[in-house]
Amino acid sequence: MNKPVGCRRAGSAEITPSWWDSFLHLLYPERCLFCGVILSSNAGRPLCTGCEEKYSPAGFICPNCGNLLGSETECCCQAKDKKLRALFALSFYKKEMRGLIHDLKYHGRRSLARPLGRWLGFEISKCGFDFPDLVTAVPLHKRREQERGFNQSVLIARATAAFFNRPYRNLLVRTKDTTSQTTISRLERRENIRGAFNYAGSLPAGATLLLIDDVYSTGSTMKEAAAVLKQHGATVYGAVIAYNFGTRLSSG
Amino acid sequence: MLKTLNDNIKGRYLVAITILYIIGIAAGRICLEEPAFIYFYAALLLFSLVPALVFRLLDVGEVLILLAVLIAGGMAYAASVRPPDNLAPFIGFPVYVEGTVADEPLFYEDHVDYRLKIDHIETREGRFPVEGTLLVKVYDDELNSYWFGERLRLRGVIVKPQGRRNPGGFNYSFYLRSTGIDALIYPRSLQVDSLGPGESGCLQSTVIKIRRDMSTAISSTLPSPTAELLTAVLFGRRQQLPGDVETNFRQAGVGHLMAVSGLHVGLVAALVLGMGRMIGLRGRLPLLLSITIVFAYAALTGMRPSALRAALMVACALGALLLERERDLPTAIAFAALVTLFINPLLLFDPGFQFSYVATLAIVYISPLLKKLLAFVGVPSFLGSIMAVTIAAQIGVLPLSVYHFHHLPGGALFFNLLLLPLMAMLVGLGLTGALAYLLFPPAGELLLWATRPLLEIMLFITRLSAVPGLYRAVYPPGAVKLVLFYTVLVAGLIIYYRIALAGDLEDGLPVLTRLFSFVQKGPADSQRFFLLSTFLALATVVVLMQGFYSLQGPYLTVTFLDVGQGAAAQLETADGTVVMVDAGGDPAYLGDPGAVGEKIVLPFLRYKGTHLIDLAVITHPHEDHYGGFLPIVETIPVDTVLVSPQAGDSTFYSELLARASSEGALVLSASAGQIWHCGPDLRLEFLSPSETNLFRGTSSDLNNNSLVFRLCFGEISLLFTGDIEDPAVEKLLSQEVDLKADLLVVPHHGGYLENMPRLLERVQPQVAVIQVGANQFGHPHSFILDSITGAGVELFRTDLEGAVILETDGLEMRIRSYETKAASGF
Repeated sequence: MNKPVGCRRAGSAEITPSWWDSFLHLLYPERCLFCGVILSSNAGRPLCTGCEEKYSPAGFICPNCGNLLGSETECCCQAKDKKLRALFALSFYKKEMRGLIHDLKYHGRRSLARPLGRWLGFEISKCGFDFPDLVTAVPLHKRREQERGFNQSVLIARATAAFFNRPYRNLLVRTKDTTSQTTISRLERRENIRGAFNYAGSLPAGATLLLIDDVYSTGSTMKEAAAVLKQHGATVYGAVIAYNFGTRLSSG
Repeated sequence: MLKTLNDNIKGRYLVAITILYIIGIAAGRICLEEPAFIYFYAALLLFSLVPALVFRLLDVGEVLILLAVLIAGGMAYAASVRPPDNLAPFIGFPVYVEGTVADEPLFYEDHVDYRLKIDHIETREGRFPVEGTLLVKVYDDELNSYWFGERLRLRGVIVKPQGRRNPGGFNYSFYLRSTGIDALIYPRSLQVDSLGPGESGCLQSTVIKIRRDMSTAISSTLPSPTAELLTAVLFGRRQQLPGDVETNFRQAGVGHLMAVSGLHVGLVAALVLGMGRMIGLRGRLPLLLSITIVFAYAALTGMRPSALRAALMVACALGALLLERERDLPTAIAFAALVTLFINPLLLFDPGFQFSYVATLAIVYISPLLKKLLAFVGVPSFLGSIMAVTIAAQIGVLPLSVYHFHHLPGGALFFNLLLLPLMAMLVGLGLTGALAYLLFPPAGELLLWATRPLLEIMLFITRLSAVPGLYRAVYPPGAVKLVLFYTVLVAGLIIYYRIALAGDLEDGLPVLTRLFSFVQKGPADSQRFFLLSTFLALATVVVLMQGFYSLQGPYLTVTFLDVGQGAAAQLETADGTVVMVDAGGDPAYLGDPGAVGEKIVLPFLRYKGTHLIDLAVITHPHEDHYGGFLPIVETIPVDTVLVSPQAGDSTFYSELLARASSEGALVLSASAGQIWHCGPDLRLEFLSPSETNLFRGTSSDLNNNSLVFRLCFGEISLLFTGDIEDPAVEKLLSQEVDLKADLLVVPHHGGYLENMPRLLERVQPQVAVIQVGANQFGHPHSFILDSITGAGVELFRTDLEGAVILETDGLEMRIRSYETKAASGF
């Protein structure tokens, strides 16, 4: 049975790591994502006590107006047509986080995806949210993925799915080899991305989905992907590693 | 302690577990050999664990894990050091054994070694199933050789390998145990029959076949000795390598190039990954392939510790890519060590294991520091990194080299800098060449030919190591000093990294403040520091007590060395006076009477730290008594040499005396009636022969004219008798001299002596020592043995018990045999 994700769930956020995870933690000890210091435990945030201060949580964001909502999911803007039921961001796209995402995307440090994905899951579950039925990610175009060798959002989403102990599934393909969203303006972005995704999977009716991407700026990509999924009967929640707050200010 | 030993261990549980496991193994060995230390270790544990629990630095669970790992280490050692019991009843008798050849035979110049996994032993009483591994040494094997997997039936006597026979000597038994061998057997080739092929692991036989094919490819393409050198470099097998090449490499300090290690394995992994990419493999496949091939290569080289370490570490690194985890070098090193020592805990004491890990650790922790230093003084960076790695490895390894081999390769740095870059090319070309040869011979031949100039350059360069003075024999540090050196090194590095790390956080603090700031950072930190210092203080106390334990007590130590057939005794007083009475020696007809001196007596003297021999007594001019002095007078200064008035009949003897005088020794002849004082406490009273009345016309004048003397120290006296026979004994007994002694050195290696009972009666010894080894003269004679036991005198024999050690303070004496004390030797 699906419980609505929106309802608060009592219970602790601590997740007992599996035996396999504990063994791998022995062999490849977890490090603080910010400073690289070895952590003594692989449960919880992948940060050392010294770096906890440097972490600025973003929390829920209104997918409509981009306002920071903290632990609330409803925004004052009362948008009607919500493709995304709620959107959660782990942190902001600056300083350490920006460095981490750059390392992952452009320097091929794939080992960063797993702790980031787990961390995302950890923070979401700490907000008292119930687990989604499925986890999926915003796809890259085939050509781009081949170029990079991987899709960082998929790697992150797989880790989040593993944390929630829910399946990960590819549900979308990107059919349009779009210009990079980072190089164009807010309005152009929406045009650029329109019709870029095709549905290519199967969903149980009324499933709640967690759609994951690495960075959320104007939300065009995320919303376009969510729209496709919603058309196919899913309730879509979004989660990203970093919220690029700056773009909202400059463009809005 | 698990969490708090230092930052390097914090969170790296595998490192902590490995360190504890290693301590457990070492403590297991110490406690097995010196049970008294169990109490020290128990106290040490108690004193460090109680505060840890009180300060809540560890919880009960952690303490239990810690103890469990420690105990596991000790138990693992104890379990693997003992040979299996089921062979014990068959040792020493001629038996038939049946088994399967478990490895490729090793061909040496004069013999072949087979590793035989035996399953049955047949005696007159019947056929018994057994389990064990024998090292079969066939010395006259010219006709047959048997291959891996062949079943053999052979007749011979199962022999227990010798342990450490003399202090500072080589422990053959322990070495063989660490390679999984339980006992030896020496059949003649005619006594070995093949029973046809037996069962053998398919994997192992494939590996052996590939190795053999590759070696054949190499030897059919390259001329000797370059072929043998390439085989040694690629597979770590140096049995076929000409002795002088190996000596040159060792003396140059680049012997490690012939041990397959990180360089080789890393290169193999890189080659496989590169080729995988070239043929278009993507994703996880090339990684998995690479891991498999790396282990296959380690198997090709016989899974020696260095190869296994490299393979495990490379697998760890590739596994990190495979599993998308962040790799961690210290953990990878610990993982490799833990796996290796889990398979075989005895390898902890294997020099190859120690060299490999110490060098790796030194490269990881010391070379970054040196690199900075070299960059600071303006060394260009490409040269700087090679130099930093080489120097770091040498800093780590040289003390070990001195400890194990008593030699200092002075040019090690120079030769390593020159040869390491060549090695990378050589291994790459050689491996691809040998492999290509198996698929397409002409291509392989071409690649192998290309290695020839590299090999010739290596041979030429290592020949330079013969430059006099570069490679020197040195006095080895004791185990305590060695441990102390590494403790200081590690402490220095910890402090350095503490400061370097603190530097990132709080810039601008002067170094000293930084050094102390970590002490005062907060309650938790200061507790940790307190715990750490308590632990270190206690550890120091244990080490000191260990030292004190060995220092206190005897003022005179007499060591009757096991030199095989022959006699050698070393006496050392607390003030450092050293007397040698004979020094063993090999029969002159073998060409080198000094070989035993080089192999046994000199290492012993270096181990003892003997820089000067105050008095050398040569009882008589037979090579089994003087031969060992030949290499000694060339290396260690001798103050005085006392010889018998009897002239020798060998040129070796006259050469020895001439050499001794030319090296500055005073060579004098002693005779009955003389008293020689050596230092304040030692007195030698000479009793025979009489200078004016030497024995003439006896069965052996040389023997009968042996110097006989009573050596007195306080109230304890020892009677040294050389090789005197009945005429000389009779004359001694007829004289009104004091022959009473607490210890009698039985004349002539226990050869027949009619007057033995009378001699015992006059001397009234508590203890008799027979210096004897394997011989064809029937020494010691049963009559002598019976007389000694009949007289109620305690008997020690160097052939059965290894070195015999007497310790005395001048009033009481303690005597023990070396091997029983150190049953497995340290």
